[in-house]
Amino acid sequence: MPQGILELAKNTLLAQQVAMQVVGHNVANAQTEGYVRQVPVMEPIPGATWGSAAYSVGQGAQVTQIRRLQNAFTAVQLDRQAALLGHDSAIADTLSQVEAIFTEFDESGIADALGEMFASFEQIGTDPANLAARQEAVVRAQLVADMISGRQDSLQQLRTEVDQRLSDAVREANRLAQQIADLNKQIGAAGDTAVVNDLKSLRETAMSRLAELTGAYCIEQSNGQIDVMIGGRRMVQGTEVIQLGLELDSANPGMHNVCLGSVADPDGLGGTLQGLLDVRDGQIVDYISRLDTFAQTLADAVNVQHRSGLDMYGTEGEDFFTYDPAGAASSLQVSAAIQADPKLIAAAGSVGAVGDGSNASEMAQLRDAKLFTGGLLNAGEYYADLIGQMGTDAKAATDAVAVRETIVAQLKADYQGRSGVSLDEEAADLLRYQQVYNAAARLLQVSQQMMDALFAIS
Amino acid sequence: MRIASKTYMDMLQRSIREAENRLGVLTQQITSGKRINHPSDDPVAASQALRAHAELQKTLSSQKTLERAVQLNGALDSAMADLSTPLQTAYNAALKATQVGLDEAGRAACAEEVRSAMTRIITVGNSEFNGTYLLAGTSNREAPLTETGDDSDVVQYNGDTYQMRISIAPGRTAEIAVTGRQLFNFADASGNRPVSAVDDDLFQVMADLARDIEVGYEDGIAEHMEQLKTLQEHVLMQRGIVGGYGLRLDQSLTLAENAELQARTLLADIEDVDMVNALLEAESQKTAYQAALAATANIAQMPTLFDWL
Repeated sequence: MPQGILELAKNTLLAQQVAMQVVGHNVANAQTEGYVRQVPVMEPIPGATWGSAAYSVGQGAQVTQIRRLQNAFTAVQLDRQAALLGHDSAIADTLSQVEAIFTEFDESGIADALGEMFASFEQIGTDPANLAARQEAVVRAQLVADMISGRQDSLQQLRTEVDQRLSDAVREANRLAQQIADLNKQIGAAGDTAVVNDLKSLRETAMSRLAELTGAYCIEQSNGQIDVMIGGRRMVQGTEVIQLGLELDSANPGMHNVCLGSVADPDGLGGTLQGLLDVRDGQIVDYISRLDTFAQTLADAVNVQHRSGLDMYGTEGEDFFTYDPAGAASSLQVSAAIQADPKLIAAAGSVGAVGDGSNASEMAQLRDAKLFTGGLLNAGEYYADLIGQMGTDAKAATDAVAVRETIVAQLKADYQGRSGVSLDEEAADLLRYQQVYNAAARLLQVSQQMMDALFAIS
Repeated sequence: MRIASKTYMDMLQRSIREAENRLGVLTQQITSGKRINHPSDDPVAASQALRAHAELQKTLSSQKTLERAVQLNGALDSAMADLSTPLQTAYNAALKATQVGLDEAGRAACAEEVRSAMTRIITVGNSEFNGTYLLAGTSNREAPLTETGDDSDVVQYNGDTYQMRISIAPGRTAEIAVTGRQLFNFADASGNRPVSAVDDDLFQVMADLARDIEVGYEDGIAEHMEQLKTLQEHVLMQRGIVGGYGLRLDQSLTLAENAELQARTLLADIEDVDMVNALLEAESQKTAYQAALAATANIAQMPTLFDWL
């Protein structure tokens, strides 16, 4: 009989030791990102029947399983929201860079330079023989051209950088997919053992990051492995990975498309990758196009007016601005001849006298001419509209990120409400297991005393 | 609701970050004095601010142009004021020459007075302001009047027939000055004169008057005195016209100054930060930030059950 008690106490001591180890593991990972709390599942050990007695006494307790308290439903929602957050963040970050290119509120913007250019035309209008005024007009106009082309070049450069960021994101996504496949392999090999708990936590962390990058989701298989899907296509199937890649987009010179294996532009792509593609081919292209329209329309209007005047030599004006129609904004320049000789500014009207600045005055009046958007907006208004559009886009993206962050934070709190570690709870569990451990140890002591009593009889 | 230990730290981190961001935005607004530093701060206001900026620049540019026009007009008005005396002097000299019994020397003195007055009028006619000849029309980089030495055409007009003017609005211009042709009754290319009743320019009339005084040709003196009188009235009228131009330019300048004030007010309304509100808000955000920091420090130090074991 005392041997039975010894066995029972030993089983109980071992079970409580395991339980306390689990508590220790939880405490150690209380602040680990993606860690899911584990709890020991304690069960009684069935006992043997004694002699002819119609009863049996159990053999103590044992830990039959260490269970992860995974909140699967919230985890799926969290991955989905992480993908949306990745998408919106990519757009917001890029548009914030666009805003930095268009510095319009510190008197170094195109709007101010444009105003100064028209003012310099007006100045020539009142004092056309003043060569200093003519020189200033050339400088002001060239400044406008430089600012427009500078911003256009910066937008093109940003578009190229966004394209390069695709490459980084694809590399990271492939690394994570490979990590998931490797973990799948280990989980498959480990079977239904306690070791898979931590492997699953690692895999979920990788999956969450992959979802943020690509909008991928996972489907768990019966063997514990997961398949990673983008749209309806598999990126990870068990231990196999179909890699994401980039291929040159024939319709979009110099830019790349994302492909999954041999499939270009896979449906269902989301997250950071889709956000980068959207902002690269959406907003940035729109701004580039509008800046081209701005440059070309402005240059054409000034050129038409300039050609109708006479320069200081009495000859008809040539084009004031030159540009390449294939990219008006980035190639805009004041005519090289006028830069070299400001007397070629055709300030005079039909009179052609040295004091006639009527054509320069007409050029200055183009400031108010409704040249854009079907005769609705003048140059300044069109540009202000463009800046307003950039601001609206950037604010919408920032607001969307703020909303997503709130949702993600809420979901994370919800997720951790079930799956996170509470130190108080772990301490209480520790106390509980410790008390049982102490009691089992006391049982051993009593068993020893019983043995001693028996030996004393002999 | 069960709250995991990590949730506390995540929430605190987020609170600190948000409070820091809000405080950063307010600090930028207060130090720059502007509510809008990036288009996304307020896209609609950003667009309005750029339009208001453009309007302000346009107004300032118009003011600059109008100020120069007002200066030119003022200089011309002042020069034209100097025409009255020599014109009257010439007329008085002619009147004196018609007195009975005036000898040859007396007539020569009167003729000299007329010629001297003519020279002063030529000097006034060639007045310039900052390199611009005021009575040359748009050909205003060379003196409009030159003496030829030819008795039948004593003074030549080198200017043109186009008045100096400025553009004050799309399709609207304002005159700054009259031309020498208008003022001194020179004939245009078709032979037409502003004062059709006098078929000579002022200088020819004066030269002929001086000549008739010298020779004592009374009919000629009477005829040219009549012409001089007519042209004297014409000059007076032209001065009134130039004064009218000045009035219009002054009014336009006042309007432009008012427009500047309006543009600046509008711009300030859109763009400038309400400093009192911003400072109060910053104080409030600073408190929120300090509270978030204090809460973090307190919660980080908060004991768990482990501390009591």
